[in-house]
Amino acid sequence: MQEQTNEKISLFIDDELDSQKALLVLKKIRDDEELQGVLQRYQLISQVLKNDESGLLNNSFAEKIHAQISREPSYLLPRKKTEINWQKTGLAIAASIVLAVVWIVNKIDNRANTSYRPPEIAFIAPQPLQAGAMNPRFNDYLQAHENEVYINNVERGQPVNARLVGFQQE
Amino acid sequence: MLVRFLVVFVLSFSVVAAEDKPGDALQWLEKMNAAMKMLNYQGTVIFMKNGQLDTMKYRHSFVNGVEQERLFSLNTPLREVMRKSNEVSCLFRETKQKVINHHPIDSSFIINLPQNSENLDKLYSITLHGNESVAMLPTQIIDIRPKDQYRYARKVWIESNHYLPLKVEVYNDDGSILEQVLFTDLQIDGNSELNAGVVDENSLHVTHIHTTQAEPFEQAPFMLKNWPPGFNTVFFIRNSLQQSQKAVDHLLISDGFSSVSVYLEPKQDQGLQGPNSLGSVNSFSRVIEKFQITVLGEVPAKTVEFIASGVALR
Repeated sequence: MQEQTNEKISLFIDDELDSQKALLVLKKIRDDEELQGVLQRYQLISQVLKNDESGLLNNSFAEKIHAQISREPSYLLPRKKTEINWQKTGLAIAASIVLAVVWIVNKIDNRANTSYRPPEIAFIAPQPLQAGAMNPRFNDYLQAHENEVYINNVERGQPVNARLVGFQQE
Repeated sequence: MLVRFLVVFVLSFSVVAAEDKPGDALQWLEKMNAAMKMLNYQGTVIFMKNGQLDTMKYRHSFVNGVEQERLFSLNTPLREVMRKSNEVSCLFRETKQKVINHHPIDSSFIINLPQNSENLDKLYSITLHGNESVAMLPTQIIDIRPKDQYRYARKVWIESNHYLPLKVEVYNDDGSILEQVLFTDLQIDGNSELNAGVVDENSLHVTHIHTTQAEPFEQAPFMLKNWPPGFNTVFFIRNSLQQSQKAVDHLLISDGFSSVSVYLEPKQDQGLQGPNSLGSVNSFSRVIEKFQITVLGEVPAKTVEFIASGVALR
């Protein structure tokens, strides 16, 4: 009941109550000191929001406001209906359809390739080396790595071949 | 009619179930490991790696407890590669140069296999994968799939009577073939020696590449904080690389199928940074203080980066 009255007071201040309801609210406020306090607070908040004015306050003001607000219930006030912009709505629907089509096509494509899914690995992809452009140090390391790759000749454009099959004349 | 259908159904189901036993697949690998070392055999092998194709005559022999492998290239540049246990030599016939490398370990030219298959099922899912003919010989296909992202998947076609590998494929993360080794013909117990012509040993220019004695890894100036599961130390040596002749610390780790080298040396100029790849071989380099760190191996790029990020100076 109290919540409904507070809600009507808020609507009254915002000039969103019809005349009959406004009169009823005013009568209630006249007979109830607590509602008068609510009206004053709502009016103050409304003025501050509308005028964007501020002044120096004592240190306890914020605490008092905070305590008061915490005691107040939350209101889900109805919002004034705005006119529907059919042009924007149409564009939004079209964009949603395009996104949905892309998502579905992607899903179907993924299902078509489910025979083997490589594991996801997060790292920087290595650059495949061109035989002629191989760092000589890399070549040395390859040669020393096991028998299979211990000698090769990448400097003459011959790729290093594991297990000595790329062994080339110097 | 119904009974016959049920019998056929049960038999076919039991065959499928038997094929899925990982123990059977491991036994095939163990038998192949033994056959590869103990038998005498020869044939023609095609190596397809890094977009390059090489055809070579191959001969394996086991004499007085010493394993020997010989490869003769059929195409230019003509060369003869021989492995006698852990000593690998390469003779360039046209320039009469010979390089002899004394490597700390011996490994096959065809395929590397773990010496101990005990914990292999923790790292790989190893299953029988049907039968095919390779080089007119019946084979059993073994599917070797890693259980994590630190190693490559493989398939091995093992000859059904003698358990020799006739075909090996290594796969990338996306399922594409990275490497292939394939026998086009195979003779068991062939006595004829491979010989591409006699070369006067005195006319050769011989280069020896010696490696130092392996040391305990605990004596290395660096340590690894990131070990991919199943990888163990194979050796640690302090060596000089062929071209630069500068001292390099070299650690080799392996899970049996794949191996990774970790190199540490004083930094030169700007040093190497970041990832590189060549076929199935990936590397990742970084600089720590005054040192150059490079991790390189036949493993996915993710693995070398993971190991490299965990290298720290002692």
